Amino acid sequence: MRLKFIITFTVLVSVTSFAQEFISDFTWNFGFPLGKMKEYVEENSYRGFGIEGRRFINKNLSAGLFFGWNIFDQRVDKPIEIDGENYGGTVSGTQIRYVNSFPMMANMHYYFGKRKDVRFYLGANAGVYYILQRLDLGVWRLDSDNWHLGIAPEAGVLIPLDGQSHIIVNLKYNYAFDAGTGLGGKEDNYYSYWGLNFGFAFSNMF
Amino acid sequence: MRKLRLKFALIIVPILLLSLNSCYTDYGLSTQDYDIVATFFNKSTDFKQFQTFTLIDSVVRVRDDGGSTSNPDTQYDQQILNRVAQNLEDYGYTPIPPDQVDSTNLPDVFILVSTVSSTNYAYSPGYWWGYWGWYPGWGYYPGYGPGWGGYYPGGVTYTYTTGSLLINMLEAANIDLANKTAVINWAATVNGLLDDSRANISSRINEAIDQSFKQSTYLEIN
Repeated sequence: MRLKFIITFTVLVSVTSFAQEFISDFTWNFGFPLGKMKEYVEENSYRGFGIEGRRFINKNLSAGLFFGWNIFDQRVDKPIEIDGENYGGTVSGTQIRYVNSFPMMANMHYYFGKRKDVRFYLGANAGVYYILQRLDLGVWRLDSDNWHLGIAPEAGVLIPLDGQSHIIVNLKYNYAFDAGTGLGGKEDNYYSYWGLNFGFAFSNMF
Repeated sequence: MRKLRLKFALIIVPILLLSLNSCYTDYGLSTQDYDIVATFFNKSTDFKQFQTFTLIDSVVRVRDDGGSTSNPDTQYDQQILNRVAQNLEDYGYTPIPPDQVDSTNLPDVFILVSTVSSTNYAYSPGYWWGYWGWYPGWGYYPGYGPGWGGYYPGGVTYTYTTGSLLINMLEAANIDLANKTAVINWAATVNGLLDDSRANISSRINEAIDQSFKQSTYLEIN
């Protein structure tokens, strides 16, 4: 009975798996800080990567998982001004500012056109961002790390190279909702940045 | 085709990871780039009311554990005192030497200079994501003094020495001798690495002291 169940289950899973298209992609991710994040790190990030897997639910719709990493950093020489209740102050020295963002998201994508053609798509990502904000000042280091709920609407294109390989390019608006506190105990700790990602996607079907 | 894709993926992923490592920005920081100058002032102080100062003519050694320092390195003391005095005079203050101070001839402010040096321990994990966690000063936090940051197994442990120079301005009229308390009207803290050549340390001390006054223009009474 047990053996019968295992065989049936394995066959069913295999049939289901082989019947569905699966796409995995590896991307080089650029980041362009926005809003409050840009006040901390102004420079764009050209260092990042993404790994993603998508399973097609039908010909035009896929569900998947995405993991990425973007590093933003910048040298700042402008002094920090402190405005306390009873005292004021200035701290000068070389600052190296970092923001490391790790999005981990579930997503859905809707594809236009036919499978073997160039396919534009729209997507919605939702999940969490682990964000580490860091300030190196002199020999001192300040860290603030938080898990943020986040969303990332996306638009992209899959350009077929052959039956199974594609070039993938997409644009994401990353928004990590307010969570915890930033450096110096600052509230309103949200992050937003554009992500421009391109790389290769591989499908299991011709 | 499946094998080809696997090979492609096996090539792409390491390239992505390596490109992240090699592209991590090297800011090429010099020892001087690790110097910090922090200045603070009491908002209720009107510095224009001060005209004279007395610079206490010795540099006090403060140990991070509160003890006293034996055989301190005094080679930069006179240079520090001279530079502080020069900056105060440039801002319009008139010096009153300590040996001329008495109850009938008090300065408006006393200037106290002290130094702290610490040998610190840092750790380099030795692999590429060490860029993340490694740094001289790793595990330390301004204002709380040195402390252990912790260790991971493996890697390299090494020591480095930091020094802090503290300059305090106290209004003579607000010093409470009975209770040994005083209001600090202005304070400057200079912090940096001491693992440097003598000439460089000397030059960095001068620049840092000058910077502490340059960023405190409210002290100027000219």
